[in-house]
Amino acid sequence: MEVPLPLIWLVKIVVIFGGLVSTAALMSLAERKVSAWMQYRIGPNRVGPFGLLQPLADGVKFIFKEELIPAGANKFMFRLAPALSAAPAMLTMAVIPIGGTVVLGEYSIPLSIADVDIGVLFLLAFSGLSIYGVILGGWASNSKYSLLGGLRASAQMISYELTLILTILAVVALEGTLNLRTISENQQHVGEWNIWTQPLAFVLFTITMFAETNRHPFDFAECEPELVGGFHTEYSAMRFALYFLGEYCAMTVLSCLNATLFLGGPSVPFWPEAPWFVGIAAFCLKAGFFLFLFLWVRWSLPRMRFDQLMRLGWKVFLPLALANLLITGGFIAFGAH
Amino acid sequence: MLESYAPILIYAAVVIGFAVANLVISDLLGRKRRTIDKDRPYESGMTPEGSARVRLSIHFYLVAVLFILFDVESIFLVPWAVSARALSEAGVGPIVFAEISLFVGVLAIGLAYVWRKGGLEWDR
Amino acid sequence: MSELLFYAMAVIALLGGLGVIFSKSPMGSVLSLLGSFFALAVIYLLAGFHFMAAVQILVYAGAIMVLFLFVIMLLNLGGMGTRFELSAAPLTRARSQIAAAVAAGVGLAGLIAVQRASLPRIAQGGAPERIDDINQIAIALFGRYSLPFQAVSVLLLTTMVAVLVLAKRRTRESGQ
Repeated sequence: MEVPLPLIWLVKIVVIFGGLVSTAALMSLAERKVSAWMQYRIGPNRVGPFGLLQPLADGVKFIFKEELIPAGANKFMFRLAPALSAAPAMLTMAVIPIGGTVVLGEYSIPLSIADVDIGVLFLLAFSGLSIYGVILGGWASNSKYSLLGGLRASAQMISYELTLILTILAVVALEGTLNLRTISENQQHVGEWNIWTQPLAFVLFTITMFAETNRHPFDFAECEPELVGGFHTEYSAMRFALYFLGEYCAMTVLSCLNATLFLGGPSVPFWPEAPWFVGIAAFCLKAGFFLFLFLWVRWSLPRMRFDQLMRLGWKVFLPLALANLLITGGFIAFGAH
Repeated sequence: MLESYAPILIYAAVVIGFAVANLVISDLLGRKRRTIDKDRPYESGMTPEGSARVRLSIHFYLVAVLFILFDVESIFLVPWAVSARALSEAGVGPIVFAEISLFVGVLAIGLAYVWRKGGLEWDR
Repeated sequence: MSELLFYAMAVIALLGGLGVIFSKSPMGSVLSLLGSFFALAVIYLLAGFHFMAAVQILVYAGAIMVLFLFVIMLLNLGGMGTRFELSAAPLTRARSQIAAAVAAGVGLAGLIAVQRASLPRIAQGGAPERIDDINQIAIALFGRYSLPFQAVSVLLLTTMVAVLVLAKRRTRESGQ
């Protein structure tokens, strides 16, 4: 029986996209559950066992809520902005290898939607586009809080994007490829994980994840006491939900990328010939750790000030990332493999 | 080669379809009852004063230009990062590394200049 | 299939270009240009320039257009329905026509130059495999073109100094 290639693509797209959206939905529940536990509360527990169906109930509620458009808003841009924010974040998932290669009968199926040679650049290019949803949403709302929130968020995102690119380039220099699948396959054994050779890049990348997704302690876009809701102050119903979905998707993708670049992707420590489903489980665990870190940090650290954030990005992270890249390059050039 | 991008195209269609469908469904099913107070931009209960189209600080412009400059720099570093190993094995590693160091060094001087002149300060 | 995609993208790129000119608000122009850039990136991809396609989106769509957005907000040009209200530098009809003519002339000269140069034609014989192998770009960049490469860094440095001088003068004038 011949299975056409597009069918395999479609199955992979459905599974991975479904996984991404459900992860994002579950994150909205985990956010509330973990927050509750850390504050000695119970959290949502009415809908389904342990409140597991809460995201579904929220989704239904969002659909039937009223979509408000403030007077004086630019209607077209206002409607477009949430999609511009969510779609790029979801699109970047396409190049993440969530597992090795599955061999089913005569088919060997690599577990990622697409396996492209410029994977890293593709991911960087599209994740950088999420900024449009933020700027346009803030600007189109015709509200001062939204405008300021959008501007702050975008300035923050572009500042930290530089660190993101430079830390990833340090890994790329070690691996000699932009293909994420090759990068993850080069780290089969726990001793080959890039975290051992690039500890500084790992730390910088992990902190930058928080700034790129506007998460606490860098959540200036929506720090409630100052800017109400930030760039999505005026958004309601599904448009608001789409912003949130986009944020959680961006967090998920960056967590996956972190696991792939530094923690060997689907490689299982001390068990290099683990079957593929164990690999996927290991990958989910690693990515899940970073997702939990987002929540953990939120209830552990105080929020920074905006000028502190920009100073940290430009005066500490950017020089450190540049120096790290140069030192890595020096080691490669002078033959200390 | 191009075949590897075909799934991305399909995936992009799925993602965009998902985003647009969400917006359209909610637009159709949600209730619509507009009032003047509801349409007013939210300012914590205060009546909005003046236009929200305020002019913004020149700092944002400065940051955006600096971002472009360093973005272009890192793009130039991409070919080097990818082939650093191959070049090193071909025996030209030190020369290329010197070129890269000079390139990054010039921009580091620029960053130091902007830093000294206070271009990175936000509280001023 | 890829031919169909090429024509579709070419049409989108052209429509985006027209949208830049005819859009009523500067924000609309920016979004049109964004669409045009995307179509161009796909065309690069179809021609086999993968690296170029990614850089097109990363630099043009991800960085330069963001600057455009910031500038539009900075000058407060983006109000709804309002046209350009840049009273400081009035663009008279004659001036804009001269500017358009000059731009068109330069573009035409560029087209003719490209047409005459003996560049490899990718349109004939389909897309070659891996035309832009990044390793080859690196060899060219650090070997044959190492001097222009260094010149780029000086150019970027100049821009950095220039923008700082502009921004700082602005703050002094506004009575810091």
